[in-house]
Amino acid sequence: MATPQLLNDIVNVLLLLAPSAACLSLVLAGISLRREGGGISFVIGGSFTKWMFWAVVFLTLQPLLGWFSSFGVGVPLPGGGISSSWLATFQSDVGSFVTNFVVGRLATTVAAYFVLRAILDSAAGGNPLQSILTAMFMLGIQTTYNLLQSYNSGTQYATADVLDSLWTYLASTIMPIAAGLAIIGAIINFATQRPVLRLVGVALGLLSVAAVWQLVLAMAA
Amino acid sequence: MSFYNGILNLTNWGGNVILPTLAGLFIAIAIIQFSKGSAYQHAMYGGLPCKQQCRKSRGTRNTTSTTACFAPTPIAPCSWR
Repeated sequence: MATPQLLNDIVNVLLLLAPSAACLSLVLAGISLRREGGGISFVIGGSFTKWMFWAVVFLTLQPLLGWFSSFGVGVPLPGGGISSSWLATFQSDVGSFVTNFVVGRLATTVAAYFVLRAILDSAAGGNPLQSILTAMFMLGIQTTYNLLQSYNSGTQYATADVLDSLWTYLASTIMPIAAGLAIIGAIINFATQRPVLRLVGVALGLLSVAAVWQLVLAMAA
Repeated sequence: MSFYNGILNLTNWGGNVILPTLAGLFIAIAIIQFSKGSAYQHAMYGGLPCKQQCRKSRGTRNTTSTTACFAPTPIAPCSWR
């Protein structure tokens, strides 16, 4: 029995909306970055990592479905466009809403609120850095999305490939800059007679993340 | 706009603008504390690395105007798999 056209259209709509869901996940990840307590933390299983993971999954949904074929379950993905005009318009409108409204305008406004929050954090004796970094993440959502998309290999292993590439990007590009921030913090802490060694250790650790990974690999081998 | 540019410029701003300003502040505090006969070492030794950072940034600007002070040295992607 042939699959009804309406079902094919609905599947097409859901698959075509996956990139929009990835964008929304990135927005939620940005908000979670500030909400997670204890400063900038990448708690495994925390909200930030969870939403980043879902963004990657949504982005690589079609290659991921390829696994079902190797399990022996045929997943004939409907090709072509959406024949139902109402569903096609719905998909186009939702995609446009997420791209133009949520990512284009709303994320910028939320970033501005986080800048204000950074000032209020400072006033309350807290650290403004986490709100500032969150604002930067929110402003760079479109670029982050493009970056994730460039890592998509389109194979069955696409999800793992994107996560691998993201880790390498984090360790080789972002962390050396974060080490510079840690050194600045260490100098200020030293001058104001607060603990220094922890920040110096963090800077050294951030500069050698890949080396530490190699060390762990060598130990486990 | 990207997160990479944001954090890079934040670090550059911290190193090239904030630290030199703090250097002057810390050295002034050290002088005041020295004049009062109280402990001035922390402020003085804190001001020196701030000042060093300032000189390093100036040297960087003289050599390559487009290279940021904290621009990361390209690291070969780790083959960790």
